[in-house]
Amino acid sequence: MALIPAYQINAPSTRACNVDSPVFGGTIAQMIDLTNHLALGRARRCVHANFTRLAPKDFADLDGDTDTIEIDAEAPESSETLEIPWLSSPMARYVVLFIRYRATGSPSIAADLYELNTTGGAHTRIDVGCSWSATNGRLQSTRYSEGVGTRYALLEATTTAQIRDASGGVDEPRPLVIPSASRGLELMVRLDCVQTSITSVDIFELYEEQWT
Amino acid sequence: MANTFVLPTSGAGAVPSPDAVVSGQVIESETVQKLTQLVNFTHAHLGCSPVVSQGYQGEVFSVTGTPADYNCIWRVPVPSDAHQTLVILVKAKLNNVGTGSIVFTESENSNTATINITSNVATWYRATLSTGSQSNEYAEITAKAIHSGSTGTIIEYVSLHWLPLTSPLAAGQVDQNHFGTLKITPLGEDRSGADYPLASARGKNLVQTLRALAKRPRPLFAWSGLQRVASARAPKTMLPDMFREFRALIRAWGGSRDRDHEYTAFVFAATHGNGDDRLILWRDRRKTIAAATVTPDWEELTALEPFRRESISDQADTDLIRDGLDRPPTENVAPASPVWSVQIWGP
Repeated sequence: MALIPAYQINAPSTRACNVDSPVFGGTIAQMIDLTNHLALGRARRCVHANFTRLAPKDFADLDGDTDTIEIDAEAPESSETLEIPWLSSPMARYVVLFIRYRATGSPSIAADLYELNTTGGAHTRIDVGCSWSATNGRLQSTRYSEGVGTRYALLEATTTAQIRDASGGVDEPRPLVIPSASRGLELMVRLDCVQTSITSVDIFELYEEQWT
Repeated sequence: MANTFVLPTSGAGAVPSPDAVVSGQVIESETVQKLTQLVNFTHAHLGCSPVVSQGYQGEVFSVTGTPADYNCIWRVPVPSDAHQTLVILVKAKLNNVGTGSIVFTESENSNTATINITSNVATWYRATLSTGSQSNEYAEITAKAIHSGSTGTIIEYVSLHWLPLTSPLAAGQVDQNHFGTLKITPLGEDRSGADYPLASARGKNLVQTLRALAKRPRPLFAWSGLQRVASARAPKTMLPDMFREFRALIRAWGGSRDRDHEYTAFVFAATHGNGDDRLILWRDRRKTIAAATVTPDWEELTALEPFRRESISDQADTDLIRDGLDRPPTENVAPASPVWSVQIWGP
């Protein structure tokens, strides 16, 4: 079985396909390598989701007044739920998250995965997912003092791309699993946040051949 | 059936192996069939990640009445001329009473799609927008929320993606929309079967199609400010901290052809009429927005593959790039920056 090239291979020259020229296996192999890279690499979905919030002051006051623009001085929300939808690709097997956040107190983030319902009904949960929290040592307050002010540093949490078995309960951070029946459907990652404000999330799909 | 493809799902055996065509092997028709099917699949699906994926917290995107013009504007990449349906996913609610909606408009052909908001509880809605053929490599999309009364329509999330093509692909060459003359030729899978010759013309079509697909951009970053919304605290343009908060992680493909990789940033930019020039910075590109520019216009910046990889790459087991606009240096800090909207796309 072929490895899927992570790097882009050059397309063969059209001169390799001239009339009356023999077709070399290398030409076809080059086409296959590039096609596998494009189809199984780049055609996987990637999502950059960002969350816009109210500014600390009226927008008109911000122009020319730098002292009022201190988003990192804003205390994170006590709790909020964020939802990010996308159309998964048919070969998506896992979902990797990179989450940028600010946190205070005893923060936590729980991530689970759903089939998106856009007709008013309940979303179907397909992976109960994983969590980052003070309890499992994956998340802490990012609050710090700067002079007389208080700031909340922007840090990053991730599921990593290291595949781990799903226990059936809420796990330590791991890539979320898309069951085969849900691949290619519109999905949604839900993030339940406590004392945490998420500013943006990057989502990557992983493809992995079936194993036994 | 011509121009078909199967989905390369796990265990389907749809992925051809280059080992099947090395020296001394006979090129089997089955291998060529798999190759052509996978090329068709790539044409159908590549570039169908969300072109816009923006969340709005704390009623930042709340509208009363009917705004005079759009609330948000985006310039999104078009995968090919065959991709003409945008899927719109919106999470929204009514603040209290009245009726509300959000209208998406595609600028070139003035096609629209309207989603009626019917609940006081935040709910996901879905609609499709037929964009028609686009003459550029991008489509310009605007969104305008409407409310019949004074309590407001509240938009919590907007996600847009192109609908992948279905099998079989329509016959005939398709414009790629990117990089001039590159064309995509759907490949009749049954023409790749046993006893069909590997014609020279088919080979050249295949090479050109692969070149076109390798140039097809993926959407990597999109953000639009909010105009004409209810709250005076809604960011109309990018605030300084957003330059850091919103930097996207991008998969870097690298390889021997990484210097062929081209990235594009479109920035909808204007100053705020306060007499100051503003500066847009992206990688090694700079663009000054003159103080007199108070009506926003699109600026296009292009760049090649950056060499520097994100340090988090080790944890992700793959090369990643951190990308986004840079905040200008202190002496030219734009408290309210000139960036009304920005989209970045690349390989």
